[in-house]
Amino acid sequence: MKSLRVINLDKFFGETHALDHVSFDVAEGEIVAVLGPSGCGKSTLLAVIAGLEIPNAGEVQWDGKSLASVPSYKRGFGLMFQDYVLFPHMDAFDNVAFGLRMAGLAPEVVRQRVRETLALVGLPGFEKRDVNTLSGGEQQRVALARSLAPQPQLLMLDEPLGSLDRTLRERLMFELREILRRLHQTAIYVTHDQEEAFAVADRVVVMDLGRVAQIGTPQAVYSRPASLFVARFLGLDNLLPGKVGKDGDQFTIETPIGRLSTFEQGLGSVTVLIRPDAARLDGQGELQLEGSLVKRSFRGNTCRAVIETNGVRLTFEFLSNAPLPAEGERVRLSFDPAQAIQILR
Amino acid sequence: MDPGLDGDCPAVKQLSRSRPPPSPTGRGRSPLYQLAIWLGPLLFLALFYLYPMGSILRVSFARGDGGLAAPLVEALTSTSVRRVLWFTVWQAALSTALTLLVGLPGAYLLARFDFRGKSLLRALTGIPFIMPTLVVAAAFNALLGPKGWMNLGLMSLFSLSTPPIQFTNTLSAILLAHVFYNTTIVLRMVGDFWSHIDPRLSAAAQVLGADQRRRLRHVILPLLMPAIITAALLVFIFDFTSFGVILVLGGPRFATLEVEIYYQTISLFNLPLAAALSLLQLACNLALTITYTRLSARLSRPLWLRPQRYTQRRFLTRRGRLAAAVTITLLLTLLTAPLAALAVRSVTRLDPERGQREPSARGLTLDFYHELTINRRQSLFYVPPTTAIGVSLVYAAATVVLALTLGLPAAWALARDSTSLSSRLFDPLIMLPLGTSAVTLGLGFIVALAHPPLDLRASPLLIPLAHTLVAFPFVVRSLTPALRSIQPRLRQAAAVLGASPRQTLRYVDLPLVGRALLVAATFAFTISIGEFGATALIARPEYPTVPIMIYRFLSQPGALNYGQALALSTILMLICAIGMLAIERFRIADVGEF
Repeated sequence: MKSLRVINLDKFFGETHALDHVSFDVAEGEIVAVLGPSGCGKSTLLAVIAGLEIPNAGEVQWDGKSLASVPSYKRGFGLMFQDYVLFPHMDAFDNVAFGLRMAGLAPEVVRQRVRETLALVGLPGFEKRDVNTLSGGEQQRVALARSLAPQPQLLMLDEPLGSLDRTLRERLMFELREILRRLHQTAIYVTHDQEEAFAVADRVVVMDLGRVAQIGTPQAVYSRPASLFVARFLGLDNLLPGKVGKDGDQFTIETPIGRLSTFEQGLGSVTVLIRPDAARLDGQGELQLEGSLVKRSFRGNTCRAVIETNGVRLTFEFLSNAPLPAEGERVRLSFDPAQAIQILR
Repeated sequence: MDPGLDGDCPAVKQLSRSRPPPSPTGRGRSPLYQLAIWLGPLLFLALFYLYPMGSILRVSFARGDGGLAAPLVEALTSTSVRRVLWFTVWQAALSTALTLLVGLPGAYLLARFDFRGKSLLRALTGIPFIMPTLVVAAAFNALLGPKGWMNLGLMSLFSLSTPPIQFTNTLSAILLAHVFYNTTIVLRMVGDFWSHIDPRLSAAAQVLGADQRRRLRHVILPLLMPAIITAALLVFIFDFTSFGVILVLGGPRFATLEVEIYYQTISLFNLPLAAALSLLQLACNLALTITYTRLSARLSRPLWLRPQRYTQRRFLTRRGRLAAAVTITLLLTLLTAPLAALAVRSVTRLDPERGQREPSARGLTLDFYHELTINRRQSLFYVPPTTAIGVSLVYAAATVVLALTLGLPAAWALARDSTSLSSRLFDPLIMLPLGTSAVTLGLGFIVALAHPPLDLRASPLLIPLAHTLVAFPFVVRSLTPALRSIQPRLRQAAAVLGASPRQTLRYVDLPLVGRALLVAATFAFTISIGEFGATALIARPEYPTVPIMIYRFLSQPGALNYGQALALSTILMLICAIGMLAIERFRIADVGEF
């Protein structure tokens, strides 16, 4: 089984610690998304795996063997750069053929493979087009074809949809996943957009300041963020300071919105996350909360409401048809603590 | 820096092209108004460029009655002319190849790496280019000539009685001086272009399986080729028209077209042959210049120009650092040693006094400078060198006034609307003097302006007019972008922010134009003060300029003459260096950088 193994990578640029003990695996045929804000070290990570940068410490292994002494042009990996970096002095055909020619394939094989790959990415007949005149979406596809054509063992995509507009991005997101799936392509997909990461990847590696913050399936990461950073990065903003205390046998947390019971062991200061999608209006939840509805905004099939209680503002999402009161009125919410409350340290 | 270089920098072109068509005063004025603006510049060009060039044509035809191409054919069938032409071409080609060889590693270094002292290195390597040819000739003389540092050092080291290095009057001297002069062009043009090429293109090729050799061959060289060819062509043009360097360092054995025109005019007074040669020179130059303009226009391709901060990195390996240190040292040695040798030699006493065997006191001295003020020969026709300095300054001042008076309207019209018919027509016309060699311009003045209807032989304006012709394209080229940058929106922005029209003029227009005017004036000044080619033909013996004076001193024997040549050259060098610093200082920051 050919898999990628990244072990304890460390990379410094001057004072900046771009990669800080980064470790993770990518199994054969798996798509792993590396998700994080800009400057978190994602692109550096790809450059190190591709062999374009030399790590200060740690190792990249492929198929159980270290790649330390393998130069990038012999690794057989593909890298699709952010904003594509197509060769401007070549047409679409020559761009896609570049890797095949470097591999020394016969001209008719090259021609055949380029045609197939361009068709695969949805650009049949684009061979003679000048890449400088292509639209953003077309350039993106040529770049994808260029990195796919040599049939890389591992394909890395650096913000492949970053410079496209929203509609095009959503369409290409699913197309891209479809193509990668069909080829059973092992891939690392770097993005700062959680929607993209969740839609494309089997597993997500969340990075922050050069460190791995969390690894897991999209569902696991979203429903159980491992740290305050991950929660904030995923847009989970209902975060309250809390203090775990003990009331007899029962652990409790003091928060600005009242005392919550918990199974959490261990005393001290924590952060309490209240999930925005867990509020109920039917009063059936175990935990009750009353406040005034400060603001409501309509967002298509959902509706976002800001509720103020005890001087704290919390944001919740409801279905659009939920019976929310008007702005400025009182509202009574209830929660199922097991779903709605999460303790972060 | 040099206007030709920065004006042609692809990034700058990129910048000015991406702007919407500018119009500082609003467009759509009548063609009559346009013509009125153009009247002065056009009249000047007609009288002092087209008319002299036409006169050269007339004189060369006066020889025979063959027809249009007759003078050219006649010149080309003469073996001596063919030999001159052949030498002109191959020395230029060889010089260009050597310049590329020296410049390309440096260009790579400046393009791809960020290191301490880089801007200093850039500035230092730019100095040779702005130096007048006579200063360069004197500088190489001070380093490698018979009385230069190298020979003096070797002589005292090995107790030799004659200088061991034969440098002056050799081909090597010509080649070395040309490399010294033009390496900056390669460093700047190729380096600038290279620094805007996305390094990830190379990385992309690397990931796709290309090793270093194939990345160079399939990606980097093809991308860089337009810049390399354009730079090489510009270097070739400069080497092709090189005059002072060959006259002074090459000696009588080597004659390029330019030098031959000078000899035929000054020594043999064979004006018809000189005119025919000029015609030949003019034809070659125009062809080269047009090719160059075409090529440099093609330099900009939008997709992959990136700001420099994305493309440069620090040295990573020890080997890289070592290679960089070696390159920098070689470049700096080549490009600064002659000038340093000149300055130091001009204040050093090493030769024995007249009539004595040993120098009375070796050491530092200002004698050569002091000597400049003395008229030792008591001769009536002799002019003390200080007079030359005064003459040069007056000529330069007159050139500044003339060039700005004529250049400002032209630049204004070009900036207003670069797409109008008049602009498209006149823009190439303005650049014509740039494609004409200085000696040809001088010859044109001799044949056209020495007799009625326009007899300017006695006019003190003759030389400033010639210098203005040389400076005119530079002045227009440096003024136009600045005028263009005053967009109506800038004024509107000021107005919305509460600026009255007077305040807008004071705080927006004037600072923008004022600095550009200073830059243009400095260009005109330094060009005038260092000009040799045209001046050598038309200067009157009683009013020599500083370069003429240096030439006279260098071509006469004797330690005192040598010392005075070096002293004058050092003064000229300092003036030009100060001029360059001023240009760098006043230039508006983001014109010239991406």
